[in-house]
Amino acid sequence: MKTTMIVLEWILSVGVFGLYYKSSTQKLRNPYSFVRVVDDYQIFSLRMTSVLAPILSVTELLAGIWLVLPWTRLVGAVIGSLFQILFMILMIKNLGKTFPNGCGCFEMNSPKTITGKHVLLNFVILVSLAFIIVSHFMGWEAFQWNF
Amino acid sequence: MVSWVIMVVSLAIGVYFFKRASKKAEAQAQFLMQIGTAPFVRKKLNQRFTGYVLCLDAMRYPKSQADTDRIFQWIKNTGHHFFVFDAPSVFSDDQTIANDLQVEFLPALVPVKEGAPVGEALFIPSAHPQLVQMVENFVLDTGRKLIA
Repeated sequence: MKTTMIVLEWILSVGVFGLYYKSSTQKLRNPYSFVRVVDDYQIFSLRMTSVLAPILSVTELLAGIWLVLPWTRLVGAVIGSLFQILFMILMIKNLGKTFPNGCGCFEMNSPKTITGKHVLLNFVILVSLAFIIVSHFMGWEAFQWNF
Repeated sequence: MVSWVIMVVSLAIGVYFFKRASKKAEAQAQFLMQIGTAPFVRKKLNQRFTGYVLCLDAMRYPKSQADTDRIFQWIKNTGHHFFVFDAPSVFSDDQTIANDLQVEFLPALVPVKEGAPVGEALFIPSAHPQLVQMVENFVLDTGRKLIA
């Protein structure tokens, strides 16, 4: 049972890392596009968004790296879960909306048009991260947290 | 201990990436501000512009800036008039420009005579190895129509 859980935790960690890595490097390669896409959500001013968008991209990358390394996996899973909750709230709030600046290049969490499929994908990632957090507290993880 | 080392090192890398992304975003924003806006493009077409119009998709193809510089230099030497704009942002401000220029794919180079497109636009894939050569051939082919 424990071995199965450890294997499953590794598979999920590597899988979510892959998604986070792809998504964040895409945003870091084309940062202004992501600024414009985040600006479409109309949460902050454009000036504030210009600072916030690169922070989001970098945090996503770090969460992915921390997730794949067993020593920092819990931190990565917690930050990733917070990310997923944030993305899901924003997506549900804007369900069906087409972004004027959406280039369709950041499909996972900032698509051109938000559909139920996008919310579902983010929910699946959230469940995976929740499993990683639970497995830590159940003592299933491969490495013990040793801060 | 290992956890702390990983956290500190990765945070340092994160700060570096943040600075780099911020700088790049600022440069991209400045580039977009320098090129044609919707009123500018509309004015040019209304003034019966003759020459080449480069319709970029700077959001999706951030490498467009380098391509533009190369294409711009070459067309300038041919003596044809030329201007550039970011198509998605201009088209969202004024949809009639998209209809007038008949652009189907982006980025594209459109030969324009007296404010109207002449023939089909050239689709310019950013990763094309012989980009300038392709533009050269297109301008040589269509240039005569603009002068005639």
